[in-house]
Amino acid sequence: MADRPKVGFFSFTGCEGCQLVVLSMADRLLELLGAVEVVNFREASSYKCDDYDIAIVEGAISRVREITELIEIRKRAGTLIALGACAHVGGINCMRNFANQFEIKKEVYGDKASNFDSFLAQPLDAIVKVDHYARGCPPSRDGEEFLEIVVALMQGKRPYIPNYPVCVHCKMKGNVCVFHKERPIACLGPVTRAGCMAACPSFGNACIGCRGLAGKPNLNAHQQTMEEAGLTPEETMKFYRMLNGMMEVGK
Amino acid sequence: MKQYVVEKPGIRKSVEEELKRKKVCAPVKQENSANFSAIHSFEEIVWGPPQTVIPPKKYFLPTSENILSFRKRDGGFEVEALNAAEEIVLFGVHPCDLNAIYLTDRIFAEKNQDENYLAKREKAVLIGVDCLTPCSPEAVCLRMDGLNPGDRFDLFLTDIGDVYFVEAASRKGEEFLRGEGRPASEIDHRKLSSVRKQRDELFDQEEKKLLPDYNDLPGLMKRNYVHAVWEEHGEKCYGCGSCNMVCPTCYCFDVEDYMRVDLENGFRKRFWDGCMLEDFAKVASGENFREERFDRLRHRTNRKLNYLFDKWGQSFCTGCGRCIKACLTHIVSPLEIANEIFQRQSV
Repeated sequence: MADRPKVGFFSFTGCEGCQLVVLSMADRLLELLGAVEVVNFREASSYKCDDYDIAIVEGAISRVREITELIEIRKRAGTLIALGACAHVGGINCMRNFANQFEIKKEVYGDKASNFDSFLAQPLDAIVKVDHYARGCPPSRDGEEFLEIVVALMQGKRPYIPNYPVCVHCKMKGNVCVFHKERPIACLGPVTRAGCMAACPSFGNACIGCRGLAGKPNLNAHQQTMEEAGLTPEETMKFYRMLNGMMEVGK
Repeated sequence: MKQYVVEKPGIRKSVEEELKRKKVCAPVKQENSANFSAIHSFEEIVWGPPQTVIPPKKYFLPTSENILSFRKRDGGFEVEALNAAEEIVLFGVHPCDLNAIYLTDRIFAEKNQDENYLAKREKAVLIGVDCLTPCSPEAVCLRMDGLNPGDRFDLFLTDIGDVYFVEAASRKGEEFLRGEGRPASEIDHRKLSSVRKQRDELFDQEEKKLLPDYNDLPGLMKRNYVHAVWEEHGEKCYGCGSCNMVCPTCYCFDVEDYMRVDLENGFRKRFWDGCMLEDFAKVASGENFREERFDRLRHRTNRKLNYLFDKWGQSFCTGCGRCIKACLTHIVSPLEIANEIFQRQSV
């Protein structure tokens, strides 16, 4: 192969768990390091460099400084990949967007609240163009999908990302639908994009929608299903907002 | 076809003998439902209800299967076809699934023979079990001609009291018996008829009725290609493909190549696809022939009750009821769609 593409990892508002998932891929990561040159990766190295072809960005945007940094990254990178739910849809940070901003800052920072410029959390693509999304909280299939995206990019190929709902894989796994369990559980699977191999329902839990909405989600139908499962429209909305508060952005 | 009567411990012995030699798969309990899985003891087998979540087609068309491996060599590619098949005994298959396997056998053996499916199918022994009570409230097997498997099995067991009435349709089936049992007598045959008569009466009481004539289902679908039912049901459809995934006669798959990170080695994978999914009929230019959910619901229903019915002479819905249960918005049942159209048809 010609020159290995230079890759930089960047982190904004989030738990930085997405970078940890990439790090924990162990032998798969070593393969990746043979194919690309990592020039920026805070979780793994203090070395920093501003010359990169592919930027892999995790976290949501919630401070002024982050906006300018993200725009700078976008300018330098030929390709920008959003890594994880916070970068993709804003993730759990967006729960703050539906609370009183003064009170919530006070709760977190106490009497120092006015020293922080944090504002409504945004997904990356509210600020810049994002080329690819490695979805999930944390990135799906222990980072395998992220790796597939990088490989597709190196091949000059469009990565294969399903646009259908989680139910497809949940059925392939032979799971008893969580809505049909002896004690039914309300689930976001029917409107959430597949690709995680139905990770949470396979362990008997509800899908919480960490991969964002499916291609053309039928939200009206879902409202009805959730009502049949005993949830009020308000409760359903709260469930959506756990990770997909900014879904109105639409993607 | 040969008929025997086998004592119940005889069947147990046969299963236990097979377990020593081969993988035996059967419905086993899974939470408040069931699923086909490899068993390790006879006791694990679930004989009657509940219905398994997904049908046994997964043993012949795995949810995901590597069909090729390739690697870069001298400026080109070195390719190897992959076709893993193992000997298995599928035990406790219900008549609806036996009928469905017969139909997918036809599909995969037609014209371009599907070697991966056929190799697995060849190595499987199908042991069916007669359903004497409906396995779910959604089942409509009697209505969709799925309750009688004819000779579409290697062996078929019907509980006629103290013993099993056993029909053997192949040598594989005979071998499973290992000489257990005795040829069925006139009395055994009469017992079988009476058990089946009771069964049919019970199913007739329990199962939802099919209002149009079974043989007119293709005609009904043709005459009502344009009908408000499609839009009404389509509006409530998730496009989640659950109905496709759990259907014993849905056999569509997608194929995708995966390169390893070294960009030298890779493999080609095929995996289940479904006509209810948005991208199913999308082509390279971006055109989508069935963009709307109602388009896709109409297509799926026509595949079951019209197109394939016409081609193969019977409904491709065998009435197992799995899609009816899986559909969270209760819109997909081919039988109920046919009924609704029949009652409201404009033509």
